[in-house]
Amino acid sequence: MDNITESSAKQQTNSDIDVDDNSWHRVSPLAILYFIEKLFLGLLNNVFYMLPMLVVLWDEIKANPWIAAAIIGAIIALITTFAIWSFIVFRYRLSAGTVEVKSGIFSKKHVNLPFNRIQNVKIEQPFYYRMFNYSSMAFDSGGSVNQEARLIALPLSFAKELQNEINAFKSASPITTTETASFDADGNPSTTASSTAAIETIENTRSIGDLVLHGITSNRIYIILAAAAPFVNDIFEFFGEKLEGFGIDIQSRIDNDSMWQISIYVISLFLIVIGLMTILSILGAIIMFFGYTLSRTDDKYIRRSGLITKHEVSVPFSRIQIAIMKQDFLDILFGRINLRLDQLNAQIANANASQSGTNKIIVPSVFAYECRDIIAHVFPNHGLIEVDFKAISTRFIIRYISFFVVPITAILSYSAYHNEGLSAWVVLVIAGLLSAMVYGRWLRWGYQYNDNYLYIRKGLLGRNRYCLPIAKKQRITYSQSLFMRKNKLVSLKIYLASGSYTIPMIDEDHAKAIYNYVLYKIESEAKAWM
Amino acid sequence: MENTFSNHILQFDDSQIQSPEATPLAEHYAVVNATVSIVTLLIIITVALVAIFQPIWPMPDEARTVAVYIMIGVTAFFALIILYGYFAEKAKGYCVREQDITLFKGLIFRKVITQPICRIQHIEVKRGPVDRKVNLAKLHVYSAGDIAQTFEIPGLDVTLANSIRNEILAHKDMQHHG
Repeated sequence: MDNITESSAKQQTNSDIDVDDNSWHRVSPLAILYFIEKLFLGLLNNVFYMLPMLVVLWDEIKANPWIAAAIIGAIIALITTFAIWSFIVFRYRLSAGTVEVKSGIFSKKHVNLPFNRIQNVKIEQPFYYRMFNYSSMAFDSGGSVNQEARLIALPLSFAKELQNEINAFKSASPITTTETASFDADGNPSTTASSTAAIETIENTRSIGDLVLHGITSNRIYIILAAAAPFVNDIFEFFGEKLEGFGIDIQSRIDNDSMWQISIYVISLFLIVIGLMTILSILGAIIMFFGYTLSRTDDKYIRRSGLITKHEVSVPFSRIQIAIMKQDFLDILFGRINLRLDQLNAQIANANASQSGTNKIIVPSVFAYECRDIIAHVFPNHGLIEVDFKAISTRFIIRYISFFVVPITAILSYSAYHNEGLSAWVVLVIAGLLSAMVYGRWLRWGYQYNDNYLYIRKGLLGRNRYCLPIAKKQRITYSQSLFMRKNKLVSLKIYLASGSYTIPMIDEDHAKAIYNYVLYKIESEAKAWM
Repeated sequence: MENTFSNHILQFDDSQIQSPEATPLAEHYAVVNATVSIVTLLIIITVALVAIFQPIWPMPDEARTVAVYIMIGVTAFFALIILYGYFAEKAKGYCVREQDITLFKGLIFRKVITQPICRIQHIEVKRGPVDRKVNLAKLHVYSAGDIAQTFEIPGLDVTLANSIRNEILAHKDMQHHG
């Protein structure tokens, strides 16, 4: 591996980075761009609270354009000043296997993150870094968001090197492995560190066609919504006013036109909305997954994708807790699968929707055989594709019909009886549909297990299949209601570090066997779960 | 390794793997718990009664009648909840085996929650003011994943709670994690 030696690093103005030094470093001045972006977005988020003020002051502004320009100029100058200031105070240090970051103008922040606490290293390339081949790195510590460290404006090659080093450091940390760390005291890779430059093979790529298909089958609108979040109120207000303008028109049409015309209006409106949503969803899919590659080294997967900001997520195999094959109704039609490999769940509750995908390995719209191969690297000899699922008890249908369908039907019949508007037929159709849904849900539920894996299948129109490695489970719950006890049925709930998963209403003997086997497997092997 | 695996209930000795058996919680725990709830309820009732019948800002008579009915309803409801809670707490139990710790709970839904010791992240003995008065403690056990996934055994005698904690901390798989 081509190490940046101390001497050459110090000669280069832009990469004054060298890992074993104990002193604090500044990053490249490109970081100013990052701070400007951050401040500007922060301002943009607040600008809408100031809009009414702007409207009120509009005449004043028109009367004195120079003052307005001066104010805007002052704001820009202020942002730039703060950005430069933030850049000046931003320091980082890499020493003895820790990353330390000092930042903040008014509230100073000092994050100290040992390499072996880093759960995940993310390399991002916003467009303004991509031009100069720079990147920023985010380190997840698996704890709270406050403990997240971020290094900005690093040369891409350096970021990659550091990432390799951190990953190598972790695999060498003495939790399970017997080999001693191939590092010297400062946490540098030793000269024989060819293993850290592990060869990456590209496991999967996604073409634009795949992404379009993905946009159609899965809802990726939220990515656009998240980007538009500051504007949402205004958009709604805008359309609200427009609709109010049409309001009278619609009313008169409903009064005058015949039933079939109105239904055509409704249907075409529906189709337009669906069409728009699909287009937005396709755009979202492309923004998120453009240029998708999934690469693999000996011990981890690396996902790179993104149109505007390039994300890089690398997840070591050992941290993956579960493999999930998700299929919506349309996915089943097209024979595609969205594969997800989840890791520890600590941060997910805090991350918002647009980021929730960023610490998982997601492979959008792949075929089953690709899925099988991708999962097989993490969970060897899994049988998620070909496993024969066992059905759960038919009592499931009885339970949901009696606790869910019957009460709803009773309420509806009551109101139909007293209210002319609701006909008995409608009630019957609704009850029929609900029962069909319960039946469909029962049909999809399935479970199976072998020595190493527990498989679960569920869904209604869509279908999700889960592969849970038994040795990584955290806890298990065995529960029975009075009725279930009488019918010798049990629900099992299995906890992994990524979340909990339920198998409802299965045969008591089976449940006991699974319960005992899972505990035996976890406790007798006591394998590391990450 | 698998030959030496055993998972007996601690302090008992029978077979290779035993099904966990519930040990009930401390005898006075359910009573104490119910008493605390009743006292809280009584305080709230008193405050409400004072508010309704205080002479400084007298309520209109009709509003007063309605308020009294509402209070009776709410009291009856909470009395039922307390009664249910009493039996629910009585039904709780736990079991510590060599390799795992189990909580039994539920009246209508019986639940058996088992936490392998090798998966415990950390463990806490918690004592509120009431617990301190009556010599009880709660044992909180945390594993990885959601924060919501905690596991709590209430109503343990303090010395028992501490010795369970020490036993778990002394487990060889806990010491690996450091």
